[in-house]
Amino acid sequence: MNPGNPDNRANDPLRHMRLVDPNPELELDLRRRLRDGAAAAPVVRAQGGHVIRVLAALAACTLIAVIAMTFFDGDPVTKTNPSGDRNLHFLTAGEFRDNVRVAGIFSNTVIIEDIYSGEQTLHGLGDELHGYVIAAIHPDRVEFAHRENAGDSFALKLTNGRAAEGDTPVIESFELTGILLDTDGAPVAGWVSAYDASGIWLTGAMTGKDGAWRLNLRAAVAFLQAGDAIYQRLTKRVGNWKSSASIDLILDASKSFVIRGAVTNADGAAAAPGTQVVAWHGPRQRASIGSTNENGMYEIHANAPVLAVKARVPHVTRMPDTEHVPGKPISMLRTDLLTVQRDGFWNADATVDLKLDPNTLFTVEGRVIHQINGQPSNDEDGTLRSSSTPPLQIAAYDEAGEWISSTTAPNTGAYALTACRPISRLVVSMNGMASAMAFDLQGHWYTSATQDIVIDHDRFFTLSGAVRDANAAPAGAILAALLQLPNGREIPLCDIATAQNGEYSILFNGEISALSVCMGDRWRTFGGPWHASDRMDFDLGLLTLAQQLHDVKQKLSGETTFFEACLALQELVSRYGSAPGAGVEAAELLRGVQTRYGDRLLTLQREYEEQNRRFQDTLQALQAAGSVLPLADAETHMQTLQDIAKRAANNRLGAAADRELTALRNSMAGVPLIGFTPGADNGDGCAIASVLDNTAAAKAGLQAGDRIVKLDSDDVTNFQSLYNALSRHKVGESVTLEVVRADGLRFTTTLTLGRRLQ
Amino acid sequence: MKTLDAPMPLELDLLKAHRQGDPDAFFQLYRLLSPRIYHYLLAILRERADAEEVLQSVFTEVHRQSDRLLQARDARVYLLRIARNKAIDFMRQRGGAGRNRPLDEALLLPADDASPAELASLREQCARAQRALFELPQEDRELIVLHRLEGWSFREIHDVLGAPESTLSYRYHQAMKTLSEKLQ
Repeated sequence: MNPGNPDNRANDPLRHMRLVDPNPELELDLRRRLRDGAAAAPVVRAQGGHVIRVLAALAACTLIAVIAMTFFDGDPVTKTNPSGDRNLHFLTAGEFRDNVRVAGIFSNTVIIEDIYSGEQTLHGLGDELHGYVIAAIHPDRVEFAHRENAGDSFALKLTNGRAAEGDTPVIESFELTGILLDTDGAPVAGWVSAYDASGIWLTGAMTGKDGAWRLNLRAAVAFLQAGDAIYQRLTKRVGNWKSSASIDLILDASKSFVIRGAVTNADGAAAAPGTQVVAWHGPRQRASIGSTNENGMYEIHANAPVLAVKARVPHVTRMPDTEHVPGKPISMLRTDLLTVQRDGFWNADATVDLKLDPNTLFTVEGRVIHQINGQPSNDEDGTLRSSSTPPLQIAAYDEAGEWISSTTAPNTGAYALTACRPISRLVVSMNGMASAMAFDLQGHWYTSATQDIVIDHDRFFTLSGAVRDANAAPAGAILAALLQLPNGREIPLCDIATAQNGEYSILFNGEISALSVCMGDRWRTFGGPWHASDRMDFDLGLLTLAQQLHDVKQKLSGETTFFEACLALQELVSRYGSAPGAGVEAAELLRGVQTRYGDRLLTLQREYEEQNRRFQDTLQALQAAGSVLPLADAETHMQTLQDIAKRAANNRLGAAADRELTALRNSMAGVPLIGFTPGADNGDGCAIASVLDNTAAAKAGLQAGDRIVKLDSDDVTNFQSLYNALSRHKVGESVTLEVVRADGLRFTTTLTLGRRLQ
Repeated sequence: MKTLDAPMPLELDLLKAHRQGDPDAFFQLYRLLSPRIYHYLLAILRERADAEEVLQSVFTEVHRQSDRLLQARDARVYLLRIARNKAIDFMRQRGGAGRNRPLDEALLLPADDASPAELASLREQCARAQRALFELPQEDRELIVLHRLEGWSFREIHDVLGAPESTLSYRYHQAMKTLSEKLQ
């Protein structure tokens, strides 16, 4: 970055000028803001689908407090209120958009959103937010009043749009009104919501008995949605409203259809009233909910094709408890959700009956027996001798590898699995820290049966190893062992967290097809398979290998980034060249580059080495100079570093040189250092209590007990006056000191002012 | 060998350190970058208090969204863009840049490279130059501050403002000419 053209400098009107720097105290202010705004909050899903974060109230309070403090320092009225309209000022202050905004006003409820985290909190009239009380809720703004001081109040306006991007179009507030009707023209008591183009909910209102609704808005509305109070009839109207308009919304029953039917128990009796029935559009899209009446009949209104109808009720079974002691309560009751589902495709009125039949369910139960050295290790009562063993997870899968159900085996060793489809595989796993176990048992269970699971520890294999991060230090990671079926479906065998030393070990009996390793939020699967004891170490640098290789490829094609990419590629290959996949690809890529661009690479490499040598020399020289670096030398070094930074701008050497240059510049700025600790202040010069090693003072031969009485032509009476005199000099300059030794000897010495080393 | 417009910046290292949990890295970054951002905000907003306010909000955002900054092609350009958006937002909401207030704060100061002999006359020149500079249209102020005072290349300014480099260069020279004429 070259400041202007040097030729024009003589006429430059801004020569020798700079803009004022920010107040250093702003950093403290920022620290405070960030600390106050950092609280996190759990998520609660409220009715209507809007995500409301309840405990974030605390965070929002703090944020509002920060805002309040910012604005109420001093006299808020004269400072911030040129127009005389206090509310107007606070409404339009940019600060609010930078921290919180009113995300919605819904009759008497205010939704306040932290625009960075998206956390939303619900507040009502009279709620206190860190000393401020919600005093009034208007359709377009919320007024806050100070709890103690009635004169202190402000308002947050309903501002919509994504403020984080900073380019929300500002629209004059407008009003949408209308009536919600059914097809017969009768008014409907229900609700209306407005959404913007990205589907973000803007605001909403309940309609009155006369069906009338009114929304106040400050952002373009892309569509309106309305429904009746029981969420059975919905309508959506698309448009682009930016100014006041009157829109009638019609809940058109002819566009929706009804799925109805009976839900019966196994004995044919009507299911309990209130049994929930859900119609699904797709795997994750819930269409609509209905529930049975006293006759076991349900009705669901939908306006899109329904792919499945499900009903479910709690179903209680008693766990097998062979060792039940009379007098002890039976605690082994378990509750399953008895689900009945009918798949199909319905896009018109239809009747779908559902039968909740526990007889279609069957139970596989038995005991888990650990066999070690050919002997069952369970006690006679079935309890595993080692009581510290974590509970076992038992999962059942069908032939296609589709999960059916799971259970946890308690310490008695007894288990029971309820299933609705034939089981062809049971996976018993013990997940844990540092060691885990996965026992895979195949068979056919399609009716209630007793199956003892004998886990033969003598036949286990061990897959062990360690996980290291990119710096080869032990890393905390989670590993998941997977079994891949011929049809491609993967079954999870067990999870394991690495120990503190990064080690893990998995006991398994059949096969582990792959291991998925996760550190942070990144998962990467490493293929096996492993059929016998083995060791597998993971280098998490590998996790990013493919991405790194991708970056390198991009950079290889750039004229200026070519060499940097080559360096990065060389390093990738030296570390991961033998890794299957990306590693091998990297090695091949490097060979290709070396063949095709060998000459060019060699030239660049020579240049790099040359610059690296210069850089190391400069670093050595700087090291040797220590604190005392004459101005001329410093300039030479700066120039060298700048030159290296420029020549090696495409690789890390340039970055290192740039860093070193900044450090050197910083160390040469500021008040110079002589290098002593001051003694008592008697007003007769600056006394030296002790001289620091390797500093200008030490080099000039100053001693403890000396007093500095003059610096160049400035008289020195104490440390402060010496400091004042020093601050007029630059680091690296030579100055003459007049010094009085303890024995009265007065002499002058010339020294080079030192720099502050970090 | 050709060099990049911007050397591989120290900022990225600091950002990465910040992402990895180094508590001080962010504030080192702040110390490194805040003067530049602040100068730019001054150019737009013409008022110290306003520029400070927006500066804080820029860094609050960077703190929360440091991953976006890491992904940006040039972190410094990205920062300037955030700053610009926020400043313009701020003005729009308040209705103009320091419009009704006299420019009585000293925004333009003698640089460190001025010799003591020059200092006395320079202070007076600074006050005049400040008045002239801050009377220019906003875009001209931005260009002069970015290019002349902060040393950004037109290439980088193009990335911030979006106008073609040639246009920027032409406008910059016109603005400097106007500035010189005002100071005659």
